[in-house]
Amino acid sequence: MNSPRRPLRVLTLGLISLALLGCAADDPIAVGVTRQTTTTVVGATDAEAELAVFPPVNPDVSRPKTIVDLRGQASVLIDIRGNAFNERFFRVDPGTEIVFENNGVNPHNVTASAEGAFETIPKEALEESRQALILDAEGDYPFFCSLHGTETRGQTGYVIVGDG
Amino acid sequence: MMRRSLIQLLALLALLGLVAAACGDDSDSTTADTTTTAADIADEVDDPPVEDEVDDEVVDEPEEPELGYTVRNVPADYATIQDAVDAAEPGDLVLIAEGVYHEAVIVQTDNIVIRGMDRNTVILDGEHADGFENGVIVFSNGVAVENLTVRNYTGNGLFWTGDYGSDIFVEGYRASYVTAHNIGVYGMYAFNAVDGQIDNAYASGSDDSSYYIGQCNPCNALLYNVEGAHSQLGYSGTNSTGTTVAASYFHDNLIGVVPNSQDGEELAPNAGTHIVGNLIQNNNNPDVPSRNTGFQLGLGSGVVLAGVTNNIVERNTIVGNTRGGVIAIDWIDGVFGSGNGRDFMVMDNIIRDNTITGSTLGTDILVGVQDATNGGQGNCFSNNTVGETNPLNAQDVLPCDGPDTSELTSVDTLLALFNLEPFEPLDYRDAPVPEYNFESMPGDPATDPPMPATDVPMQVDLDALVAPEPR
Repeated sequence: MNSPRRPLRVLTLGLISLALLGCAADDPIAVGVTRQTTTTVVGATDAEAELAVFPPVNPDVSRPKTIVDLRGQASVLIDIRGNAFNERFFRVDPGTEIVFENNGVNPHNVTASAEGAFETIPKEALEESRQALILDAEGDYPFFCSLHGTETRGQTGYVIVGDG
Repeated sequence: MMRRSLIQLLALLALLGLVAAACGDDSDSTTADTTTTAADIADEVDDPPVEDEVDDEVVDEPEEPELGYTVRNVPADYATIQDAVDAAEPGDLVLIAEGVYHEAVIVQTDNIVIRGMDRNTVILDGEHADGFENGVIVFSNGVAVENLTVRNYTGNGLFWTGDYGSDIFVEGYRASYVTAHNIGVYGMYAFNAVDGQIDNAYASGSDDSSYYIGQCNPCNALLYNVEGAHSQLGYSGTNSTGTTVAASYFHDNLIGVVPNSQDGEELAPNAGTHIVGNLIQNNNNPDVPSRNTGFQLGLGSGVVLAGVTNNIVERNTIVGNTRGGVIAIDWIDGVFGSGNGRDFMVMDNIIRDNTITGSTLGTDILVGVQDATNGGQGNCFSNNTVGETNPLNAQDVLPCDGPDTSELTSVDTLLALFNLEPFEPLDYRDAPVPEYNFESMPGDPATDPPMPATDVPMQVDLDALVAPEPR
């Protein structure tokens, strides 16, 4: 099913690190620090963008069988620890703030498994503070941490945006 | 007639030998296939050479003994290590010739051995480049890496990992005669993995630890005769119950050896690390990579038992660590971790028969608990050669064969005592590069059969280990 391409936004929240004092999971999320906007596959030329399917697809990654339904929330918090995303496979509404918080021992990033679906959230950013990813375009967005996994193995995740 | 029967008997014996061998036939391999199939044997039984064609001197040419595995040579047969690994079948040997390989290898096949022809001249080099997080990342069981060097990766040098989200554990891993240096996070790393060993290895220049075993219970893991230096931690083991660190050398790190419990990983607490027969010396180095401000508080510590239970520290030489020789301390997540996890009490650990000297704060032994009225929490110290301790006369008030009569200092007070001066950690890329004169694997790497990591860890007579001499 075709749906109009809608702006894809990656919102980076630059909360001051509260690492030494603790950063409770239910702290309010500050809004409006750095916002990136794009309506095309990341890195695509204008000509490529005209032809590109969005979101892009990685044929090696299949939709998981079990998906946790997190629709109906303006913001969802994904806890990262034990080299895993918790929740790992989930569904959200378009425009939901997907907030990643690294409470683990190791550094982590969030990398799109289909190249160009969204810009990587780098490990340095997640070491400092929670980072939010906002996906407006409906579709499937598999992702992984490239330090602890590949597109198909190890530390992987999958978010479905919308009802499809 | 007798000759025909003899030929048939020999063919039958060869067939039985083939069935006993653990060898697969790889019809996709680009290397010469040395496997003889059962069909070939059957053909010979049915169609033996006719008598008048048989040479009187030779009935059957003796065949090359079956290897039982395929050797996949890099670069002679495969241009890249990844190509050879992808072609390998369980039991195969990926044999790498001298050279520098700019690769990040992914292993998904069980029971293969990746071996360098020479430890010091077979080098996997990530060049600190994007996309080169891991020198070798292994998702499969029984994989061994030996006799080579990995360097300059942004994440991990060697990494065996299960997938906890799917409850998948790696079973069987081994690193032997491997060097890993200037690696971003961990030199050699096993996570959600059981039954493994790292032996005769060197790792340095990582901003977390040279060696890390994490999230397993029971881990059944052994570090033996390894050296860890110039990292934040020489060894770290988070929630890794059932790990032994033996006959190894940790020096010039921020902290030497740190088994710990924390909620940053699953399977907390760490309820059993055996630290025996090691030299843990001069871990006072602020000029190291370091990513954890909590651990930076421990600069100058030999062994830190952080929130662990039932660990044993015995027959080690722990000297020249100026902040503290052996420190048993509660894990306070708000101070040492993210602040979003539980605290863990350090309890029931045994520290005995060590030489522990060299602290400058009167803390060859140091016990720090959150609730100072809670006594020693079962931690005990006996028969160690020590200088000053905190509590005073720690072995008298916290003996392993007597009552706890201690009066302890709270963690808050101890942290104030440390009075750490802020320092700027080193970038891991700038950590010292070791000289490449490490001992290579014994035997002949070109011809020795591969030994996948299926019967690991090796058995070691730990009772025979003695505290080593300082260097």
